[in-house]
Amino acid sequence: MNKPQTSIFGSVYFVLMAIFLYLPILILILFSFNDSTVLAFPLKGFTLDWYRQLGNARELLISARNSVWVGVLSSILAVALGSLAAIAMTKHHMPARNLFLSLASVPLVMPSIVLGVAMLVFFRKVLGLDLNMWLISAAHVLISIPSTILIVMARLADFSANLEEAAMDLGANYWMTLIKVTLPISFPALVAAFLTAFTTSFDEYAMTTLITGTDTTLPVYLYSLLRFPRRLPVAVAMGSIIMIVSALLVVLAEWLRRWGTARTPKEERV
Amino acid sequence: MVNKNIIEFSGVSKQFRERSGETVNALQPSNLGVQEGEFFTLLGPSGCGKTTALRLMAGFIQPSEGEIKIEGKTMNNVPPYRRPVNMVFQDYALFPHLNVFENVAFGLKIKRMHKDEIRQRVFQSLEIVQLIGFETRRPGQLSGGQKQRVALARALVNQPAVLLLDEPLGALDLKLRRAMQLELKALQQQVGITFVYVTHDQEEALTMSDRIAVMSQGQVLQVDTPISIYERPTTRFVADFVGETNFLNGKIEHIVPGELVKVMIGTNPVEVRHRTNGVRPGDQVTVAIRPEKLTLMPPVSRSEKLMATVAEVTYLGTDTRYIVEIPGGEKAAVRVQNTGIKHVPVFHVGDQVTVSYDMDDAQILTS
Repeated sequence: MNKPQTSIFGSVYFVLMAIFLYLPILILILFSFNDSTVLAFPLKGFTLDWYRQLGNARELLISARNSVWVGVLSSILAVALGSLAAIAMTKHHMPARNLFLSLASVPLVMPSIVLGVAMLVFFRKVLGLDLNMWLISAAHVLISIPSTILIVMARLADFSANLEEAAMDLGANYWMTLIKVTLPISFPALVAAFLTAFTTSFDEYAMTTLITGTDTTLPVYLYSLLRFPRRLPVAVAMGSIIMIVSALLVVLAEWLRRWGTARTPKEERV
Repeated sequence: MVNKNIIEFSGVSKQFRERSGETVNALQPSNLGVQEGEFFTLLGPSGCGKTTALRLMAGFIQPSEGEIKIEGKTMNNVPPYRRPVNMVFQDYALFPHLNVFENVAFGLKIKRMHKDEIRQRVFQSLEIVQLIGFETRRPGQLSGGQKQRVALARALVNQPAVLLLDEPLGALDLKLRRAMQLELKALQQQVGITFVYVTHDQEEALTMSDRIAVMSQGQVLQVDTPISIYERPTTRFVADFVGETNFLNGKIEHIVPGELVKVMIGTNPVEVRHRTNGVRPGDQVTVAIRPEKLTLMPPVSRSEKLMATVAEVTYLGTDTRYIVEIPGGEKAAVRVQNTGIKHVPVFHVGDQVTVSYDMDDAQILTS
């Protein structure tokens, strides 16, 4: 096989793959503008009605607000805790480092439904707490922490330890070095970690539904909407918005991460 | 000013524990004195402990034993940010998120100096390293040589008692390296700050230093001026590491105290000026002599001269390098300057020659 053939095959493969991945999403967005409560072809006509109804859906907006609130709170906590763990693991001699990293990464591989059940039992039966948004946030910190640790660690491991030594050599103590050198250089990674954590929290359904009390998050509320077929298009409209915002956030996070890496030229990372 | 030690190591050693649990002696117990105002070089191959010694001075690591004094004060357990020294790193370690001005101003800002004074001093040191006009550039937009200058300015602006330099020219190409060597030396004389310079490049060390400490395997072997290091190495390692040296193994035949030592190299008697104490007739010793200190002549029959056969001739342009074989199996390199077209090359492979030299240029090594 010569080169041009390979690249044609590659292009076709890529296009098919992209269609397979994104067509369902595009169809969903298409249906959010369709003038019918039945999600089926042929399309009936163009309407912004479903988006308009979103504005009046008070419970839906409350659940969206809850989701943002939980997302921001849990992401800030996850980034703070994850960064501290990453600093401990990359910049200091830490006993049982690998054991700690494995333990912290468990939520990454544990089915969230299992985590949800465990959390429910723990919160209700062991601690005897009422389910609320604080607890949902705490649970979301748990599932976001592995990615924040890994993102921040990758950045910290990437830049020369000499930079911190240089700061200390120039008169900065440990904390000043952290604030003036380590954190600013890691800033893009911190933002990327925050966005990744936020997206994780915002989309999380399986675990959250188990520990939801009176305050619901957006995914949980949307799922409950499915029981009312006539309101389904509203859910589809909301779903479309979430999809686009999530996609934008992930792209932004990735872009920030790369931008941060590009700012440290290779030769400085000896 | 002279003979006052600004940095003093008394019995300082450093052991590292490897991951495997093994301990590595990076620095054997050493005494070292760096005098105020001098350009002091730690020279040795990689792994000889020179960088460890420098990092001990900077305070990034603490000695396992011994005492480090800077300006007469004990520095053991004093963190890097409270030491009157600044370092220029091998990879420059410029802060990538700050521009040139902010990099240079870093140390002064930490000291909470007044804005106007910071500005004045930053520009002053940028002027010294000839980087005026580059203030707003980021390190990523600078060439290797420019980064080097920023790193220098960033350290010098703090007016340290001692400037520590860890192979700062290592990443530059040869031409720029040569230029920077002279520039650094001139800069050192201009600012009058004590420099402690780490390098594995013997030529660099000879060019720049007031004094050189040659190190090997965690030990300081010899501390002396470049001329003494080159002309009077005290150990085989120093003679071999700094420049090229012939080592001829032989046995001492007799000694005329204060005058000369006669050493038999195979069947050839070789005379060396008697300078080394503690040698006795019958001792196995090494005679060290540099190739350029030897000359070749047509054979004569005077008995104290070294007879040899030419084994190899290499024409090198400025000089010709001969390898001669001494009866008994020893070989020696000889470098003869090509002073005129009539003189090159004089000898050919297989020629019998007399190797002559000045008795004062040869040296007896016992180790």
